[in-house]
Amino acid sequence: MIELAASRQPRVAAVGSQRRRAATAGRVGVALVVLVTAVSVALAGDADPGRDVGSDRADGGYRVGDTGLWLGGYATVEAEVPESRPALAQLGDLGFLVRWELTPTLAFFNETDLEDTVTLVEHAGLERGSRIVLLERLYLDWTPRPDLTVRFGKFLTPFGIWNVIRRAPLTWTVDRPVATQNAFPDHTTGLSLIYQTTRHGWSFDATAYGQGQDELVRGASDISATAVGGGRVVAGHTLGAAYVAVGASAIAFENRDTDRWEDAYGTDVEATLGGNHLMGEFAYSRVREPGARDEWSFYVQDVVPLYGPLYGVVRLEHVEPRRGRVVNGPLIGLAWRPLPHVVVKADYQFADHEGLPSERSDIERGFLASVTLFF
Amino acid sequence: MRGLARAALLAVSLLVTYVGARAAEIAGAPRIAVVVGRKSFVTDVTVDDLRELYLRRRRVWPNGRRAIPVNLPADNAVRARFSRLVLGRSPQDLVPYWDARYFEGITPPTVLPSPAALRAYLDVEPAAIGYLSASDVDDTCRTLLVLGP
Repeated sequence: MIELAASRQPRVAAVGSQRRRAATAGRVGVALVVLVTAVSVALAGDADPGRDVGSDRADGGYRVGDTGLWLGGYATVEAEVPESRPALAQLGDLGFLVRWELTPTLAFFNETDLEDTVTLVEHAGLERGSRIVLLERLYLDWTPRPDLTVRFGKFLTPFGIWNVIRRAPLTWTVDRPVATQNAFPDHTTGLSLIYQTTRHGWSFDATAYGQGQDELVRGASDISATAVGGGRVVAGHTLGAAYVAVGASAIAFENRDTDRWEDAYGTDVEATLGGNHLMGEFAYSRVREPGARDEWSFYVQDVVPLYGPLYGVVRLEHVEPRRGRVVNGPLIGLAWRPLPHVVVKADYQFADHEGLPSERSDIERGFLASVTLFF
Repeated sequence: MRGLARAALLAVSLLVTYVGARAAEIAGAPRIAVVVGRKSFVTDVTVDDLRELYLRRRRVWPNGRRAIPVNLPADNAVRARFSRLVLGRSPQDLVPYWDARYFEGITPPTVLPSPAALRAYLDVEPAAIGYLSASDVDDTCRTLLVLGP
């Protein structure tokens, strides 16, 4: 009897934990619905068809008269209910965007983000973060020819698809795939040449970039580099009723933390058809060090329109990391865009391992949700 | 085997129906005229140029003036057809593209509510370019290109 009680106790505790977790997920869901409703009511004016005159519904931001100045921004509230650690809700990113077209061929761009502000943690209450101000992008674009742009400053490293669209309003899921995170520095500070053209119905993009110094205002990238050289090419064409773009990327960089040179190569595909949005990326990276293990990963994601502005998301991800365990991380989710400038996402991330609190994986099993407003 | 044959027959029937419907749709669709104002300095444009301009990948004319492509509303049938013919995608399929451009501070082309408003705008803005159903073109604008059957 004593053994039976002892063996049942953890199960009772586990059931209690599951109920608490379900209740937490329920509360988070209710909070999200309340927030979306409030935002929807507050922005009801934006749904006025009259606002479409002069701009597309996808348009946003504010133009300041005829000065060439454009201001935009976004804010995200996120909730996480992982299976291996306490649930939390947090003010995610708060970003401000400025573009100033000084002349038709010269433009300045800046993105500044405020991160780690406040977090509500299950059983621990409200925690104030360090409120880090990050300089995400700061560059000058010069267009000497209609098809050529010279970019100078700090910009998002053009490797693959996700790294340059990783802002919450642009992605269909709350978290970015791990496959897009660990192979290269997120940012490059230096010079970039961007060539874009369309010939015989084929759209081509070719980008070459380099960095010969430290990252400008460090902190925005998980991997920081002291030197970078890379390039990316993309070709796009219609294929029946679909539009398909295929890209390839390569980068070599000196990791600031390890003083080692690393190389990464990637390929990606993106297709749109009738509201479906298919994308996939493969990345391979290696350290120039004898005996070091290579790393490779990929993800494939499809977004399917379900009903009006409601979309279903399915993602498969596989990561063979340099260190640690191989991870398969399928994800299912919903993305809802009730208004042009409001995006609500709810995902369930699966993982083929138990994430222990002391050994957190980059892919954690659990529920994630977010509400993003861009303005 | 018989089931496979039935499935193949069904697939062929669906394909024929789809192709027939598309052919009828294309045959019945109005021709689209790509137009500029009478005072515009733009003298010629290709479909490839239009794709660059309307995706705002190219934002200046060769003479260095700011290029101003003008759209009809997203629910306009001529806009949908122009989008499919020139950009290779429907306005709905372009939403992720424009979202990404938003985060570079690049907004979609200006939208004008009607062909009359578009013609009036082209008449006063020499750097602007637009499109109309061929039947909506009048002597206030100059046709550079005609798209469609």
